[in-house]
Amino acid sequence: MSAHLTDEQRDEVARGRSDATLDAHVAACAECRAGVADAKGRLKLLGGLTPYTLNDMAFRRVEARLMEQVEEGLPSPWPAWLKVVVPLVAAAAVLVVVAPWKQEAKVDLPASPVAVVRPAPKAFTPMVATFASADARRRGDDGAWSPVRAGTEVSGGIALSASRLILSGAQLTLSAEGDFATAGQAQVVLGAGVLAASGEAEVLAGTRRMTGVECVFRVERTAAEVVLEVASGDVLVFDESSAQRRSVKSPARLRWADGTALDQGVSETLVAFEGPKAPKAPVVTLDLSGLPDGTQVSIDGQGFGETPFTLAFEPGRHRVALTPRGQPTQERFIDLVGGAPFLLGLAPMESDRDVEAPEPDAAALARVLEDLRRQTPKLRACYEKWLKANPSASGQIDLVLVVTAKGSVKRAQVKGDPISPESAACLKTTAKSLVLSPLGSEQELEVPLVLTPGKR
Amino acid sequence: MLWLDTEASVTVQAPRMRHAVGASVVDRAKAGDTSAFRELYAAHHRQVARQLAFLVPRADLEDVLQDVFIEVFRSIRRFEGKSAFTTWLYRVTVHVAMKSRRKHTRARLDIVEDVPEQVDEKPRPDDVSLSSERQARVEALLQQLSEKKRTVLVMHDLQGIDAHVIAEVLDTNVLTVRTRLFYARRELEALAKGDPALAEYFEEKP
Repeated sequence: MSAHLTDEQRDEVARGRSDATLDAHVAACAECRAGVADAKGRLKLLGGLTPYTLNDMAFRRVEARLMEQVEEGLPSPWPAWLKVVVPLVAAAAVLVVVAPWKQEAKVDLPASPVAVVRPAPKAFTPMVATFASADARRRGDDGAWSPVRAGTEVSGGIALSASRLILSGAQLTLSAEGDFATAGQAQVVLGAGVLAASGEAEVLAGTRRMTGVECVFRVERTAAEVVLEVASGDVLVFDESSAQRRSVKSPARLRWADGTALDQGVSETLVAFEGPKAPKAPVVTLDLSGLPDGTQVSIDGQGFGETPFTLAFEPGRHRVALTPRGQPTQERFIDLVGGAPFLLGLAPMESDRDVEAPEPDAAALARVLEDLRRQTPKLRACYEKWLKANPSASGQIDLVLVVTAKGSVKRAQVKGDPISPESAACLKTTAKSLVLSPLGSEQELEVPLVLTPGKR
Repeated sequence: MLWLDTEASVTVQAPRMRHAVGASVVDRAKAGDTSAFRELYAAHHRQVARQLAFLVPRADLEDVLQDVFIEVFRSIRRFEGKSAFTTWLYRVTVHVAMKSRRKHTRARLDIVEDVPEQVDEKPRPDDVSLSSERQARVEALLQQLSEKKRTVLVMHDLQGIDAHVIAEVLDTNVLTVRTRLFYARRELEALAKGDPALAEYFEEKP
């Protein structure tokens, strides 16, 4: 071998998978040895990286923003200048045509909220709306009102209006009937502070907003700079002016040279009500859109009135009573699991009931889980094929299995993160050899698998 | 060989009934059903966030995740079902990540971080994971690569995707992928060797 090693050969040697010819070449070629050393260093660095992701609260924030956008209409892919110019031209045209017959405009906005936040402590507790009547609204920085739904995170400094709204923080639940607000300053964009048992909160205004979950942080302003000190947890800093985000993990101390960006906000007294125990994050949003309007909803003995409204609850088992107008009350238990919204509907009438095979119960699924866990080594062997190609390979995939009534796997598919083709083929073949507890009828199951490389 | 001694694990999580999320959800989303969008997000947000790791900086992950799903919702009508939905979603994810990089490089937060003074520990031979400071440095180096090079490097060397699949996702040919990978690796090696905290990884052991 006279030429130097190719890129692939360098990596092969660096991984210790070379043959005698390659080894002999490397031994005789100083340049190739240096290349292999570089490849080894790179492989070590990349192999030692831990993938990062978002926490549950961040995922919920994204979901809330997405749903708001979907319901209000997705942002246009057109350039921003076009979005400004076209409405202006259209408005000018309308003015020219309509101006002579102009009538007094009627704006259907909620009544102006009352300011109710007062400065105090040094930590921040976000509030989550756990109950929101259909007319619940919050005022954005641009002064426009948008709907508030259960599950929406509400920061201090945001004006709210609703006929009924329950906000839950880690330490306090606020509830009010009639016009209600957590702050009266529409221009206040930073909500940093704590809602303590006495019902006080600190609000700072500025172009940077800081939010956090179960964390303690302090914002300090000196003559020349602003300091953010995160004692525990992590805090998300969102810069309104540049639309940049940054997650700051504890312990950390950040300072801004341009101290002018943060200003002390206006603050007033907060009216607090002792409410039910605040749910632990993450709450689960109940999707009530399937219930007919006017259905009475009661959960764990607490009545919430008639639909439509939105509701969020802490995960776990809850007793639900639903009373549609003119129909008997239906009672049952529901199991709320964090993450996806729970669709709460009425049980079908006997005549509407699906005549197909019944779904397996939780116990049957638990038996299948046990079966799968026992047979994990077979699946791991397939994962190791991928690891062989890429020592840092990891991810989460879903094994989609069509399981016969007797428990044998009829079909198998691999979905989710992309994995190596050899590993996917192996998983499919292996899945078909799995023996599972009978489910009573043919079922399609989705089995999440988390693939984690071990330490070497 | 060393990797055979690993204790790689496959964690089986509770199985769920499949009909909750299936082709019908995509069809409903294509028809503009808002609740179907919510279901798609609930089913795929974690997977998309994992795929975005290292393609975009940590600080941008939340925004880019949102951009990915906005793009999904906006263009789902064009999804013809010729490939699996997750394959199409992966393609959207990679393209949005590349586009976001261009958008976000214009303005970055002007934050001066006080990194506490620490004694740099030597990596132990039995521990392959990097210290948080080294991890941050490698992440920063990855972000110094051009988005084309970084995307190929992350997909191939970190996500273990085959070069042919990468070429398909990026609408290019395998030769281009291999060329970008070659230069991305060399550039990363050069950057890491120039970083005092990472240089020791490149020292040749006798």
